[in-house]
Amino acid sequence: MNIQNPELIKRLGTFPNLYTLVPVLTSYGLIPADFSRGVVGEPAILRLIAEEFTRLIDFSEVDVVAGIDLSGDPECSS
Amino acid sequence: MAAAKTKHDRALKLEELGAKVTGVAVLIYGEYHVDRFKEKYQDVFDSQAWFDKSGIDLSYLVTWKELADLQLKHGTIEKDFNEIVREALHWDAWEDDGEGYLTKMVRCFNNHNVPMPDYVTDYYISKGIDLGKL
Repeated sequence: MNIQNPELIKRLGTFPNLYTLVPVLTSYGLIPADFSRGVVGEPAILRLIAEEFTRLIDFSEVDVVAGIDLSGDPECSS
Repeated sequence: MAAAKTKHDRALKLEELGAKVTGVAVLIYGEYHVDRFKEKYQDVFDSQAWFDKSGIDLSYLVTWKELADLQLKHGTIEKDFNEIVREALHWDAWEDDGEGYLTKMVRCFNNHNVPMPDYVTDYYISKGIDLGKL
């Protein structure tokens, strides 16, 4: 785990319904659980996530930051 | 990161626009395992191989399993749910009941009073598996 901030660790550990017990039909078949995108909808958590990334990535070396997807699964792409 | 498939597609589109993708940052790194069905999931292996050779840096904060274990540690989810979540991204675990995961799934759904949707029951019947008999 690449998270150092204990507040973010606790928030992710206690976030309700982070995983949902629901079958999800993907392009590869069924999986029985999904991940709640709600966790990144909370500004406080999003701020903590962003802070962790600034520790991992030297953004001064990046010209453009492009949002790609909320999920990597093409079935769930937004 | 869905086995790099979508990232591959997006990286190609950005390249068409003249941009070079040097890094990908994801909150959760999904560790996918499809070993038993390499032929079926060949595109996944191809994409992963592309990503490995691409030189693109991957930054992630937590893996899918680590997050599931974090939720278990804090008492947010129970052990049976944790086991299902930990294996959720192993597509081959849900192809049949060879490793007993379908049985675990049915029990977990029952324990949490989550009704099994008809399309799931029908999906497995089409594969010759009657979930009601597991």
